[in-house]
Amino acid sequence: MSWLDVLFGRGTKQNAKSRLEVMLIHDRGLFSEAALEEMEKEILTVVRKYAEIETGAAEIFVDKVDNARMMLSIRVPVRGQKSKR
Amino acid sequence: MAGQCIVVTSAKGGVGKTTITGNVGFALAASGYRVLLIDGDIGLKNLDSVLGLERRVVYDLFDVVTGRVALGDALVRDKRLNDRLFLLAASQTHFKEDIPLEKFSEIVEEARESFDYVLVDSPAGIEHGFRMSTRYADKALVVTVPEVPSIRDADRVLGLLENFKVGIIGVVINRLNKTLVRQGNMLSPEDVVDLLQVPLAGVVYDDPIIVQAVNQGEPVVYKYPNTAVAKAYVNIAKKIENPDYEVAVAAEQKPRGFWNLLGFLRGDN
Ligand SMILES: Nc1ncnc2c1ncn2[C@@H]1O[C@H](COP(=O)(O)OP(=O)(O)O)[C@@H](O)[C@H]1O
Ligand SMILES: [Mg+2]
Repeated sequence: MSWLDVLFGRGTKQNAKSRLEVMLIHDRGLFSEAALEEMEKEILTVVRKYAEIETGAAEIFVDKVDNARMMLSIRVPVRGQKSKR
Repeated sequence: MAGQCIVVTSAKGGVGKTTITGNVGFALAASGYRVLLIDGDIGLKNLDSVLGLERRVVYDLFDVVTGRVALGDALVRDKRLNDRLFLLAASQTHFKEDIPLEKFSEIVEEARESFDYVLVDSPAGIEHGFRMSTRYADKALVVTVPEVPSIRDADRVLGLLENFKVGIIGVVINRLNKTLVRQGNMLSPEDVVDLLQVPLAGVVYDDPIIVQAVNQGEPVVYKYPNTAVAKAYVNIAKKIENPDYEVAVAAEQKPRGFWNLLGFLRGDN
């Protein structure tokens, strides 16, 4: 960046801002938190058929691995297998 | 009246959460409130050393969770303030997952009874420790540095907080470099607020005085109260007290005038 850019206020920040604008729009639409919560509920209903689970301790989250892939992770602390009757 | 629980959080590490929790907590206590600081960064623990209380820590969060000691007996009192600032330290020998969410919520509920403010210093990441620290808070301060990855993470955290129904006090922009902003090489507070669409809760300049204060185990607000960063922490405390408080931002200046230009040509910046 030359001093001319400085003089006219053309810094790298404009770059940062426009990139972020695009990123945030994309990120916000990725997976709505409401959808995640709904999915967590349904998954737990199934798990509960087979295992004793600790209430309120399950976690579900989506992370970006890179631009193309996402990783859905679920942690469900279980007390043990559900006793069969 | 029950006290408020406020979490200081960010998905990114190293952006200033612990320094902000310590200094803002100290500022709140100095202005007369009873304040409890909880170090939620289980496995790491930092808050004690920012305050210089590390040698007085005997019990930690894990001891309280397991019922080994009562909450009141696990707290470290800050002698610089008369019975107004207390710390519940994190344990270094456990993992975040060792603290069940419900147990943590019980501790927060108990603490609300005897404190005006319970400030929780959250760990980085958005997993168990983040959930534990944020889920039971009434309000959150989201910390970011004015850089692309940190702002992006802050936006993600804001989404999660919304989901947990945690109120947003606003975003704290840490490590702002005035010169870079003036040159147009760093996002300004206005830019960050514009991107994140949340109120501004504070602006803290990048300043080596912070390292000096931590070296001495003293909060900046206590040791160097007349510095701009100390005043910035005090202003964050004011924003916590009163959500209508308008955080003043040094205006984004464009270089103007002959002497400024001369400065640039000389490479002063
Ligand atoms: N405004 C600032 N200016 C200069 N250094 C800072 C500032 N805020 C924090 N630091 C330094 O940055 C590092 C990370 O801060 P810390 O509060 O531990 O972040 P976090 O808790 O988010 O991981 C520390 O070494 C701290 O002294
Ligand atoms: Mg920290």
